[in-house]
Amino acid sequence: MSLKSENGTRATLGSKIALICDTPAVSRMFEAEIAALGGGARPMRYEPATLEALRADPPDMVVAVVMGRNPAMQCLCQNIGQSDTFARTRLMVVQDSNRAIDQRRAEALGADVQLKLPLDAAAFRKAAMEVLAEYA
Amino acid sequence: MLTRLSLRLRVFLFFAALALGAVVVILGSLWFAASRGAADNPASALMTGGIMAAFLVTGLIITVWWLFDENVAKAIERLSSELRARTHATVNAQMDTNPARYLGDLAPAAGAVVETLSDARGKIELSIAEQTKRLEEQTAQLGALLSDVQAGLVLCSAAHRLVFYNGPAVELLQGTGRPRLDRSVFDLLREGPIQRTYRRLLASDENDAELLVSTTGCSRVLAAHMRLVSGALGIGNVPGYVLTLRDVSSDLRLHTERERLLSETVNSLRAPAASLRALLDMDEAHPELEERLTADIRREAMELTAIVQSVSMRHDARQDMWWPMQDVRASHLIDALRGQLGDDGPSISAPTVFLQLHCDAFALVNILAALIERAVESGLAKAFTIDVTDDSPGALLTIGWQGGLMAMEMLLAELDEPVRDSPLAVTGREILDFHNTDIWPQRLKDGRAALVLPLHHAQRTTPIDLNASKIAERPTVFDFDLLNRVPDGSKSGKRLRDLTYVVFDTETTGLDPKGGDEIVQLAAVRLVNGKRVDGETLNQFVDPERSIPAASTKVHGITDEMVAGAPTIDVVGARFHRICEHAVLVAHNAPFDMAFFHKQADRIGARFDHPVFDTVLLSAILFGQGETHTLDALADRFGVVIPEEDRHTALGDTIATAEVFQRMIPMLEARGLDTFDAVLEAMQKNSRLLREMKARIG
Repeated sequence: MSLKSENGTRATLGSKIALICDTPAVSRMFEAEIAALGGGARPMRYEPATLEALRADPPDMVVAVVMGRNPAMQCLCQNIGQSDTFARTRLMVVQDSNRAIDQRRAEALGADVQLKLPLDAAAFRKAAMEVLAEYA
Repeated sequence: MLTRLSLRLRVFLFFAALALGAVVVILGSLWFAASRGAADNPASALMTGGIMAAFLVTGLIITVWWLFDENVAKAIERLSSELRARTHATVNAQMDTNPARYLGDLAPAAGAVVETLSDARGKIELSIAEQTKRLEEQTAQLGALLSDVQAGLVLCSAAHRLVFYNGPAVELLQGTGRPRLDRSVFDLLREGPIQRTYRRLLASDENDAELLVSTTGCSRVLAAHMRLVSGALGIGNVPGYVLTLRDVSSDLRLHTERERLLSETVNSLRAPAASLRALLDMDEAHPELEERLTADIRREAMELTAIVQSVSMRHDARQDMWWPMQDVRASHLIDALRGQLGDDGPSISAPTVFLQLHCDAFALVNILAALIERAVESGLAKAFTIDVTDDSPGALLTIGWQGGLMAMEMLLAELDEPVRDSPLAVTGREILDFHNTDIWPQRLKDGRAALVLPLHHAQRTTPIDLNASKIAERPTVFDFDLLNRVPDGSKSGKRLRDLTYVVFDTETTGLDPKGGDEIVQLAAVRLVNGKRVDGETLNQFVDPERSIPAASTKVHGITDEMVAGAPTIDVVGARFHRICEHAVLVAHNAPFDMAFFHKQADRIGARFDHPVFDTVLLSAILFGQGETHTLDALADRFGVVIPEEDRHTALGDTIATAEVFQRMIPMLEARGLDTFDAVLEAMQKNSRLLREMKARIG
């Protein structure tokens, strides 16, 4: 069951998910996967206003898709992962990098779950359900 | 009482007593014969008396000869050995004059000569010692300085023999066997490029040149800079040369890999890119084929993705190999960071760290200093701690402070700046990429804020011993006298001082090599140009692959636990064989030690057919076979002190044997045995002793 909140963030099984991705095709893929879970996500591109929008209504989970070295996305990850405002928000970081150091940095910046591209749909669903189960 | 009389009077009395004794014996014999013989046969009585007198006079003469031999001939021989040892071998121990006590004033006079000689020598030695000490201090300073030079340095004589090498050169030439003084450089590096460059420089006005040369095992390619060294550093007017070596194998390998990666990437992307373009064109032109084309596009896209994945993985795996890095102690890096921040900079505290980091230290120090300054400017903190912890196989560098986290925006902005003071226009971000790493803000478990920087390569180190270990770890070995030595492969006719020796000793499980006893420790030192080369010492436990009897452990103190995990004789023997190349072997009671190597020749894969000098035989030549020739006796005779803790250790006995042998050389020369052949011939003459020694070891 999905509900739409005031700022447009959708709730899935009672949870609100924000999807932040600068690559339209990949974004669509994640939307489809989230829809397959029975819910919907609010797709967002990273802009200066994005963080403010999230602060106004902190979601239960943020899915941040980091393609290559994306400094803006790293800043967003830190602002969510290391900020008290988002203490209850779970952060899923999806990267296209194979470097162990990138996984390590994401973890240090506060990622609760990490996945790699190309996306393993089953792994994504499992991880998302585990995180969202905490809010069920 | 006799010792109070003069020597001449004693000799006169000696012979007078002999004459008187002979007269008494003859008269007594005649009287005896006349009183016992028949009066009617005086001829028979005379004959009997004569025979008695002959026997008794002979006995008297033999007794006198024995006394003469014991107290005169042997005493003179002993005295002359003692004198030679003190004259030629510079032994300073007091002379034992007791055996020559019947030689009148000779022994005290010889003692006085030795004392005067010793006094004079003492004064000269004192003066020399002061100069030598200064030279040694300068040499040690030079050695310490040269041990810090990162490039491999090799100085060769005009005959292409090694005269000098440093620690990095040893590391660079490892695959070819260790460099050793007086060894041909062509044993280590390919002859062609060196000869060509050397001849070209000799024939031209140029003084230096660059060349590429591979090691003899072809394991490495080295970039070398050759510079001729003239003046005193050459044979006659022909100059020697210095080679400055740098390993470019990895550079070349990496360049090749990069080129290959680029080439393969371009080639592998061509086909799927062309296919995708064709499929998209067809999609436009033939919408009816959409279903089939979608499947084809998907296949080609998957292939393209796989190629990009593969290429990026290969690139990432080697990313930290492209950039030149150095090994630097973590504590030195922190010191450099403090220096960069200046005395008025923020407070930096750091615990002592025993890690060596593989990184571009210059760039990292500048990046970290800039970040700390940025943290201070933005009011985050004024005092910082720097921890470098083990993060196997690398290290984790953490800059911590009390306060808020640094914002990623600030961190990334700083990393986008060019590295300060760097002549290259590289940014901090690029430097981190070259290290295949990243830096990020993080809250530590104790609540402090931090910047965390992992480094992928680090080694554990030990504390630096400022007095010794720097030089010991990376020895600089040289003997500039070798520059003027004209090499001659043959040992025949060579002066003893010009030969290269390897003095060695073994400790074993027992005394019976044929009965299954084995070597448990092997030590060797090299003597080149008459001097022991400090940096060329072998001291190695050997796994005997059997237990060590308690009786043997009692002698040398080596237990089964001490040799557990040590290399076996095939490995140690092969290494020893390489050290012995072109050398004369020297050992005390050499047949015993050699029997173990001969027995294991097949396992070692090399035969020890070197000429061997035995200090037991040499002692017999110098002091006579009747003397004691144990190592302790020789050490005592030559004033060589073996520390008690080193006695019966392979290295302790090896060094003692080497010092004894060094003192023997001038004594041998004084006896006219100044060449290799002469000594060999003299040793053959003592073959009886040699046979006895061999018989003792079965």
